[in-house]
Amino acid sequence: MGASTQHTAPGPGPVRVGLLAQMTTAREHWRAGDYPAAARVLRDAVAAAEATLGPDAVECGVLLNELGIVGKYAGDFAAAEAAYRRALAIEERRGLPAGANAAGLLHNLAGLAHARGDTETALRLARRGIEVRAALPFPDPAGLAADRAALAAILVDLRRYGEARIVLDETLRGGVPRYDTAVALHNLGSSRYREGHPGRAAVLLRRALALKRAELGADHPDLAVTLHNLGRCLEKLGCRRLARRQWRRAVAVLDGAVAADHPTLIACRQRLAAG
Amino acid sequence: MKQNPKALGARRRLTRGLAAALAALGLAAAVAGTAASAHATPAADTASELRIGANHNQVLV
Repeated sequence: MGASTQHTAPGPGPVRVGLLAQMTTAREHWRAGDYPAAARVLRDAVAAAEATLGPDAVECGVLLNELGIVGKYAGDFAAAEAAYRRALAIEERRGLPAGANAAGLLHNLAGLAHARGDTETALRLARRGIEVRAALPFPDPAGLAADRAALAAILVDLRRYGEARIVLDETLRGGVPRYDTAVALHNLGSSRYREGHPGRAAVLLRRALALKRAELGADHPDLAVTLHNLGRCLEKLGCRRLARRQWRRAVAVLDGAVAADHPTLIACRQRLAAG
Repeated sequence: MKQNPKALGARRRLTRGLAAALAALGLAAAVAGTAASAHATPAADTASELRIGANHNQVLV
């Protein structure tokens, strides 16, 4: 890509600051639960980055990765995969040794496969991402911890509960940010449910929910998956009315924010329709 | 002169946004393999939400 080489290493300037400010704006939309707005800002930013810095600029890959993340949360899995693959292709065209960007993209592609229910693909990609990150020329313990925490969710779906619990306990002991703690508690609770302990699971899921509410607000669509799983525990404990309340709440926060075929939205609607 | 609280809040948000964006510039350099890890500097730590690999996996039971 000789023609684009001149664009790949621009000095810090107004264009780059503007693009990264757009990324910050998109992140604010994500935090507010407005996934469509976040995706719009990121699509505009990607177009601007390609036009001003060239299609192989690092910034294009970073913004495409962000677009992929938003697509995953919104349930727009095809768009998310396209964005991640474009970002990975940029890495390959740049001809760099596999680096932190590639590790992050493999992590995210694994997460996308997991969200789609393709657990084997998710496991393969997650392990590859960890290998790439572990081989970086500089240590990245926080990145590795995040990779392993994400892998734990995949292990739960593979019924490898013991391994998952060890990783999640490590995550919780590691003093991670509040949202990461909430996700670890969510996955630990979900593991407990699958292992046949709905009471213990409900305690963990309620803690996860409280942290998510404190971090994201009571109406954020990311609360839905925890509300759904808490509903499953309550149903198992014989509290059907309370369970339905969680699923209704989950539908309320998801409706309009995510794709109509988002797995959590479909699951909640199916539970409610079951009576 | 007394500051308008709304204007003050908006200025603080703008400052935080710019700080995050500038820290992310450091991240972009790290991603390109031209700098140390994004975790190596306190400035990058403040922008940890912007780092690559922020996707989270959550189990649906």
